[in-house]
Amino acid sequence: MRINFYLNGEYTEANINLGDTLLKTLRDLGCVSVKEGCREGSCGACTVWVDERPVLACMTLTVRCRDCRITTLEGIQEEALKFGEYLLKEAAEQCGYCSPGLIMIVLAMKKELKNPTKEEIESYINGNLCRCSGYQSRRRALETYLTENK
Amino acid sequence: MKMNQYVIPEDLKTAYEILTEHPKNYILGGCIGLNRSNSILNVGIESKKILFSGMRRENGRIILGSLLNFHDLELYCHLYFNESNASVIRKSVSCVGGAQLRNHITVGGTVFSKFGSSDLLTLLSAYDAELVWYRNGRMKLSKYLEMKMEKDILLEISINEENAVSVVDHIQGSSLDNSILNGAAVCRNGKYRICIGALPGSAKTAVQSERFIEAAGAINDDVLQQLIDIKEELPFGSNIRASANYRKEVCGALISRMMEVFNEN
Repeated sequence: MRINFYLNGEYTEANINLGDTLLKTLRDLGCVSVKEGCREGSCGACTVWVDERPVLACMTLTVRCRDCRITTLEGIQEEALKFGEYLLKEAAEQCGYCSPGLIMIVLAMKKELKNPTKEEIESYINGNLCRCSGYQSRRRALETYLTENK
Repeated sequence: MKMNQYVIPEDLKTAYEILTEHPKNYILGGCIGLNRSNSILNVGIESKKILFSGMRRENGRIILGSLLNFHDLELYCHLYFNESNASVIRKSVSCVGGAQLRNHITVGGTVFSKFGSSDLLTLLSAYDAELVWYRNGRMKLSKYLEMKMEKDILLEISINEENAVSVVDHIQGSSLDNSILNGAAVCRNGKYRICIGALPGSAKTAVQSERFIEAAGAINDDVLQQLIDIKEELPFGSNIRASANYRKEVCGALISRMMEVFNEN
């Protein structure tokens, strides 16, 4: 079946099967920043925004997203690069696979929470796993980013 | 997940008729459970137009919509619950994954699936919450957790917060993992309702501890110490996270920890 939605601001048509997840659809449309990590909603690598809310693309049925506004990393490159520089300075990225999902959740958090506590920040981004970095470097990057970009 | 058909009913009556037409017709809520189990659906029934996804106050009770997701609950519960209870509600849901996962998980899905590891479900049990179903009407959550029910649509979860002070806690092997055991307690006018979940099944009342506290009259250091040694007769089971024996042994400590919070406050 055909379905339409706004992808990074552009009205887009996709040809899908009913059980297709947003993860599959978005990657088929060329948004390869959306990564497949676990396919069960546990790792956060596939984090995208649907109507400005962060969701897991692997747990979202595309058929339920008719006329929604979907945002991937490809659509917010300027803000993503800005936070990316903080990750770089702290060597918080190694293989890079988890980074798009992390950037999406951090930028979502920045829009949603005002002056979050440490616990609120951790609770917000806890769903983004990283096999490489050990988490401390990204924590430092995030703290610096939030402090310098209030 | 595979799905043969997807429908968007305009009203509950239509949704219920479709739901009961075939055993593999399901209401689509957060879809975490359906997606993770690689289900094959006959008809997926969209719920956004027919189910309540917010919170409201009605006749002195707080109503949670079945489609209310955990993230909205943690963000907005302070608008409906008092500060202390709102903090406990947040604690019960904020430990679940990250914000993006909590945008999927719904209160209704958690209740409907009787998910024992859910701290929120155990807290709702301690509140002695009521459920409102399309066909079966109003019933206590405790009754629903004990029964097998034919297909129905869960509409709302209703909580009486009057005079209630709550606490929630859990024992986990590691952060973000499902609980080995979770617990919640609500005190109203000096009377405690204590529920223990992740048995691994859904929450049951810790009757012996409740009776012990009632007989003791007040919570003090001696009572807290003796609570640790009470071996509740609950249906503890074994799974990948812990054995039934381990759960039985630590249950008293969990209850004591919760009562200590009441004692401190």
